[in-house]
Amino acid sequence: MIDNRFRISRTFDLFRLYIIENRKFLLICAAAIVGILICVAISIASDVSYKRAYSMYRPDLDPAIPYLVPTYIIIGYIFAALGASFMFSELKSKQGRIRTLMVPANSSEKLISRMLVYVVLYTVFYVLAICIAEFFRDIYLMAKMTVAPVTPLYTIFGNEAAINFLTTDKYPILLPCILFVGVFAIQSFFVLGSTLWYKYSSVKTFALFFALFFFYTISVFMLGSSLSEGKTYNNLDHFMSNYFGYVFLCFEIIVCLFNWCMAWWRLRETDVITTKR
Amino acid sequence: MIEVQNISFAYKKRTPVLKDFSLSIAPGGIYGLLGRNGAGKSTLLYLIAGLLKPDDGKVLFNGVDTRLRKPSSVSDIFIVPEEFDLPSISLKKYLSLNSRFYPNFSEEDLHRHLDTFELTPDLNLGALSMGQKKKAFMCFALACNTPLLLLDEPTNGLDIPGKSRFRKFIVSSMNDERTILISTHQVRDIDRILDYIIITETNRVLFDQPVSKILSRLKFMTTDKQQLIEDALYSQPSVGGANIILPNTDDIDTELNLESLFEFALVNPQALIDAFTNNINA
Repeated sequence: MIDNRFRISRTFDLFRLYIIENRKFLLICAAAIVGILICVAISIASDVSYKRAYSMYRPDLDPAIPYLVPTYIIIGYIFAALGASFMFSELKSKQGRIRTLMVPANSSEKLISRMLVYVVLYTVFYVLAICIAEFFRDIYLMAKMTVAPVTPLYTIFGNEAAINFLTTDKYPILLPCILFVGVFAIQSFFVLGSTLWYKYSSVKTFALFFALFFFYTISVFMLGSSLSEGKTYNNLDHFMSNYFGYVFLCFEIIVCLFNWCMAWWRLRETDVITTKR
Repeated sequence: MIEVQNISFAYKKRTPVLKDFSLSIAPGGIYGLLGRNGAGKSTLLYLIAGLLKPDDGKVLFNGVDTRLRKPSSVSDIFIVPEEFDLPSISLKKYLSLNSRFYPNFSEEDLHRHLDTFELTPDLNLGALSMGQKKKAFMCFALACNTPLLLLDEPTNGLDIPGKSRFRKFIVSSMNDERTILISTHQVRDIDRILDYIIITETNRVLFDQPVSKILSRLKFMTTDKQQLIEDALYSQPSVGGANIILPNTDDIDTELNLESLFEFALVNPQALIDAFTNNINA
């Protein structure tokens, strides 16, 4: 008799099943991510002047890092969102829905096995892809014989200047936390989207997410303004050095959990025929 | 084993496919589910498998609501839809990935079924034709040894030898605990292997009887004798005269003509029901 409770072994069986059945698609995506990151890294490196030290007051900082880090983060967010849209792409067809729904596993196991691919594995792979891109940037700049220091990001842990760029003096961990949890929060919208809309899920979710984000931003600034007795602050330092940063982080976590729960519920309630009116 | 309890289901609110529909299926045997196009055969299979949520009522499989899609009940039900996707991987890989979800899966049975269809275990599923995919998938479905196997139009896409092997393949896999429910229009492909016949019309079960009882109550003949044709419960013109159904008053064993029975059920359901409720011998 099969156990109806959540089983980690069954989750890993589903994970393995998904990876092997979709290996071509996943390999193409992985190659595309690495290729795009290498192109971006080399293109930024060739735009930045390495002929002289980047600045008088930050002579130890690789001049490309202030451009590379935000670019990597933005690209990481975009791929995370796109990947999450593919999480349940087989639900697009009736045959795919039958195959997914008739696997003897519960909805939690099905959802978590996909999250292992598109959240955990993606995050690890993206960090690796950045390292590969940085390695190629390093080789490219070595060939160019630069003057300014070249610091590939995989050496970040030994590079105080690069770490300082990502943190503030007062709350060193908050910004990376917000950015890191932010990926999962945005992904969670697209995960939910992939269980709600089977066709053009990424476009539909993006439109809805953009509308929600716009509404949220306006609300937070209005709330912030009223809490700050009419004074408004819109610079990052103020945002980070106040409780708004923590509120935002908590909000991201709540959004994440809410969306994942909704996706689980939606998956549980999915029918094989979706034209019911 | 399966209790379909007063289910109602509609894709559009005003046109129900099934309304207050009930059906009971006992364990063991091959059931043929017949009905016109749009009678709700595939919908009924999806409802039994828990792939659709009924608007009312429920489907119980061994006392558990199938709609909950609990792993324990899903691992006991295998559905082979009319059309399906298989990944482009080798059969061996497919088996190693999928068989672990079915505790009764038997590799020995699989090889036996593959032999029946003259398939080899070193197949690449991505390189197969639709018919071969269907054969391979049905071999896997049977080898999972689930107590309930639902087949939706299983002979569609099979070649002529494939259809005759399909019958052998189904019969060879039967045991007392296994139930196979076959929904089809191709009655001639399956008429010799069925143990029970269920004929559905929109909203209701028109007819639900074991084949042994049908043959004990009815005689199926092809004749050109006018008197017999006039006396028949149902007659249908054919090449040799007419296919007729008569009350089996003299306990003669005849071969079931499923096509005639199906037509009879649709044309005059009450006469067919009466043939089973009344003592027609008397």
